[in-house]
Amino acid sequence: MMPCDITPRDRDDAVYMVLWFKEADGEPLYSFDVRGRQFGQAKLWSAPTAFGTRAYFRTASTPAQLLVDDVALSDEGMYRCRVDFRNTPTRNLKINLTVIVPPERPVIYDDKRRDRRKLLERYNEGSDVYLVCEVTGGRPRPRVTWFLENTIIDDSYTHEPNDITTNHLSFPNIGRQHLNARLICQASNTNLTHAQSEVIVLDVNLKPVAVHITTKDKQVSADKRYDVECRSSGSRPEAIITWWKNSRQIKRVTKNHLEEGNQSVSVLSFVPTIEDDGKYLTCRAENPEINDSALEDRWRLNVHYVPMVTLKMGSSLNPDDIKEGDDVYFECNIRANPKAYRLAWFHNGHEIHHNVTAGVILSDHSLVLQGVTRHTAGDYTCLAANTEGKGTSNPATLRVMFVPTCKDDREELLGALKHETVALRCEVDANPPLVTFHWTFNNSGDLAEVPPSRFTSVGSVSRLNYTPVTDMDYGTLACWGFNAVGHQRSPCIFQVVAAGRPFPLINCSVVNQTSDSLHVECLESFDGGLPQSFLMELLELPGLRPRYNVTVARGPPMFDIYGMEPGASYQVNLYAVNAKGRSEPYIIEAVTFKGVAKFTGPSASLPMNPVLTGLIATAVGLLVVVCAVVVALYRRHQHRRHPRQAKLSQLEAALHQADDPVSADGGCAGAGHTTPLNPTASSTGGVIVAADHRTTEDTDPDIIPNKYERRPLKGFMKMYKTPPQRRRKKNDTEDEEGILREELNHRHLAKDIHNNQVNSVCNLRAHKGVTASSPLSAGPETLTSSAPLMHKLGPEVVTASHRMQESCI
Amino acid sequence: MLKCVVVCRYPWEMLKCALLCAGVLSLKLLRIVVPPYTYQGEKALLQCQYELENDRLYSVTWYKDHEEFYRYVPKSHPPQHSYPLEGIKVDHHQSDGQQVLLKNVNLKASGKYRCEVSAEAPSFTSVHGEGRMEVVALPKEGPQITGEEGMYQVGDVISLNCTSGKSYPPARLRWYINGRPVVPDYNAVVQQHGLVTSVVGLRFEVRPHHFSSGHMQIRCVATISTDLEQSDPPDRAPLLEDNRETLLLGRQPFVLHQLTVHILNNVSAC
Repeated sequence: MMPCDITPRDRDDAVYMVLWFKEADGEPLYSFDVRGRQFGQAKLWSAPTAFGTRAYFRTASTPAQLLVDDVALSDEGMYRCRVDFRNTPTRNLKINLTVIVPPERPVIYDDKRRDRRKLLERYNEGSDVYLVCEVTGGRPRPRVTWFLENTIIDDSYTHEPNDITTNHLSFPNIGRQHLNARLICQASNTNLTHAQSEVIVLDVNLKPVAVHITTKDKQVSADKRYDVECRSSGSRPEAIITWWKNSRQIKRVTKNHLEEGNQSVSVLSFVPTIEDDGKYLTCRAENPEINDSALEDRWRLNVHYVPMVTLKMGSSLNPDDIKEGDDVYFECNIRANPKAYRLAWFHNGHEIHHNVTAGVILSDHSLVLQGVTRHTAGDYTCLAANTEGKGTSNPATLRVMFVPTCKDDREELLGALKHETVALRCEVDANPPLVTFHWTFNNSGDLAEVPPSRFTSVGSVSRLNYTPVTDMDYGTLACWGFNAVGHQRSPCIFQVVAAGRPFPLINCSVVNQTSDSLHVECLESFDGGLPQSFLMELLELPGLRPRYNVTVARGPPMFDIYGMEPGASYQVNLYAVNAKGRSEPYIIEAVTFKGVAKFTGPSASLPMNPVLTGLIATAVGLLVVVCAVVVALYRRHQHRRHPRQAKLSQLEAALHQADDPVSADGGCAGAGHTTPLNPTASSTGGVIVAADHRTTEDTDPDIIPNKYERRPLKGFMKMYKTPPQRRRKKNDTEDEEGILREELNHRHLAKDIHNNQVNSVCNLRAHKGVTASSPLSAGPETLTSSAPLMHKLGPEVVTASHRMQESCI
Repeated sequence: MLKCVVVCRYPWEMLKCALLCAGVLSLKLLRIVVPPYTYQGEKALLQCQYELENDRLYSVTWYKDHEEFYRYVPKSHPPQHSYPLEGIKVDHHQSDGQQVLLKNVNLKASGKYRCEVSAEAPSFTSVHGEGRMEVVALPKEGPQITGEEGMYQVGDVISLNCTSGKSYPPARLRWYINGRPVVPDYNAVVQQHGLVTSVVGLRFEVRPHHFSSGHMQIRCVATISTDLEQSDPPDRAPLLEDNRETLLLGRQPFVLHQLTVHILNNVSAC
């Protein structure tokens, strides 16, 4: 495109002819001939040897232009445009046509001369980029320039042979800011057209710039699950996050994902253990493409845990050689985070406290026990508490060696017939339990060693089968043990007494009653040394006519009777029976079966007119006299049969009468009433008198059971409290005593029995018989209700009644 | 013909070339005649001699310094056309397709004259030639020396100016003492209406050796040459040279006696 101004100088003027020449050539290349024509129809001519059809003179533009297509290098040169005007001078314009040949598109090679266009290789952050840009051709020779985005970074190019221009780019230490930056190689030799360029976009592997454990709890609890989160940013490609505990990698459950902002997140499901306390948990983020790109964040674990407690006995002690009286100590070793704020000690599960007087000293982490006993033995634990909870130690067992002692520290009473063998079982507590036994026999002061052949011993138990042959064989057997620690201090005692009548039943009660049936239950007492059976008698009221008998051959004493006649009332007598006879009855005053004939009230609620009352009082008075006579006779008789016993009985009776008129009265009354019911007892009825055993002690210390009776009251009490546990045939004499008393005092003295504790009241009532009868009118209900009260009286008279049994043998 | 030779450089083009050269015996320029100098106020005849051969004439165009001032186009009516250009007046009666007559040229007519002859369509083959013409205005009088003081003694400083008459091209002034050229102390020119007055100064102390032969001669020479403004050094003899001089003669005791002698008025032939 070559411009040529063909505008005339004057308005009147007009173009006439335009000729184009090249250099000094005479022959024009192109002509535009307007002569004799309209301007628009000018004659155009292009020299075929020059532009030919490539050229066209365009007059429509201002200035007019000679357009030449497909300009070749040969077209370059100085051109002249001659414009002839009709009226004004010719215009000659010179145009220098320079033909520029653009270079080819640059090619970018890397340092290994690989074409970067065909290579998708990332650079690592911090590495150097070496690139070569090669451009072929171009006229004039092109400038080859490197741009980073819009900034020239290298314009030093070299024209090489073979028409190649190169620019070597060395771009050191590329960084994060260069990610996706465009490196452009541009080749240009003119401003007329766009430069040729080639672009590579920098893809950079980036190091992670940050890594943070975001959930650094101040402390964690052992064995709880924690989700620990770690975040890393800045890495490209995504950072690989690993977890380390101290220097060991944790390859357990981690959940990794990518979040917005190119953040790599890893969540470690972590259960700290006690051993982790103080260790470092490290989160490590690394770009696997770049060496030494790892970043770490550490978290010092503060693991809280329930105290770990171990207990051991003092190291200077030999746990197998601790005797009663020794001092021992325990050491409690506590491992805890946070520190334990409380330490407690337990003995067999019960907390123990500091008690210097009891010899329990708690200090720091140790427990001192001074003067241990067998009761101090057992399992000890210590317990430490912190905010995480309580930790209990292993149990440390304290074994205390001690000399044998009786397992049951009460004496055992056994009744035996002559030639009857009783099995005595002596069990002791001892540590070590290897016990050697020996037995002694004692009667009335003679102490004899039982030959070892007579008893057998296994561990802490020794058995002796004892057969009394003569009266002299009754007495006290004592069992002694000794072990490594020493000799038993007090022996286990067995009283072997001659067999007799059983003791009365106790605690009888109507368990179930219908209109025609009855169920009564009792507890058995001492069987008198012989097998016993049980008997229930029903006496119809008011005449006390025996109507029914129920026998129970073998215990327990539970009685059933059916098909009763309705509408009747009965007195129920209950007995224990053995070969020596039957016991005193246990009386249930009145049991009424509801029915057509009502007999519950009438007898009891008979109107008591003054005459009748007077009669009764008189009868009572007579009875007292008779009773006194009978007693006197009986005593004499007894004295003859059992001189010692009789003497005692006499004294007792005498004393009793003086001291306790109520019981005396009762005794007489009881005898009177029971006689028809229990004829066998009639002979003894008179002597069943309540008496204080203490009196006997003073009066006759020589009698056989003396020693036995001398035993502390406690001993008896205990023995009788639980006879069924020890020997089934033994009966509780305590309650029986109550029954006995009840029996003695029954009916007309019931009111006095109520107030038996207070003698003065009793006396008063005894004298004023009239008043005494009035509560009687209250009927059997009052009497039955009095029964429990009677029991309370028991202990006062136990030994007496017991001895009476003995004396009966 | 030259062009034809150039075109037919290669053997395989010979046939085409031969045809071209034989068939188209085209326009060629024979000679252009431009007088190298012309005195102001005189006529100048410019000639352009060409041979049309088989061509017809389209135009003859005359340029002075690239400006067209005369055109001869036979197809045009009238065929002659001249354009006003300073210092140039074309005598149409004595001009045609072969020559142009310039009347009463003045200093502005100096310049490069070119004729371009173009053949008719379709080739419009053009030939051109050019020549330079200088218009010369000679001074009416010779150079004049001023500044003399009549009596000088040895040791006095003689300070003189030499001023040329108005001319074009400007006169070149040179000092000679006793026939030996001396470097002037200063030069100056004053222009007026295209004509130039030159001034040179001379200043020296009078010494006894200036009177070697008993007297001293101071000469100022004014030279006008058409070659002055052209190539320097001149590659050819000046076409025109006009020398005039003035003499000062001194005798002991120093009396400067002024003489004006027109020694030369040489005009070199072409």
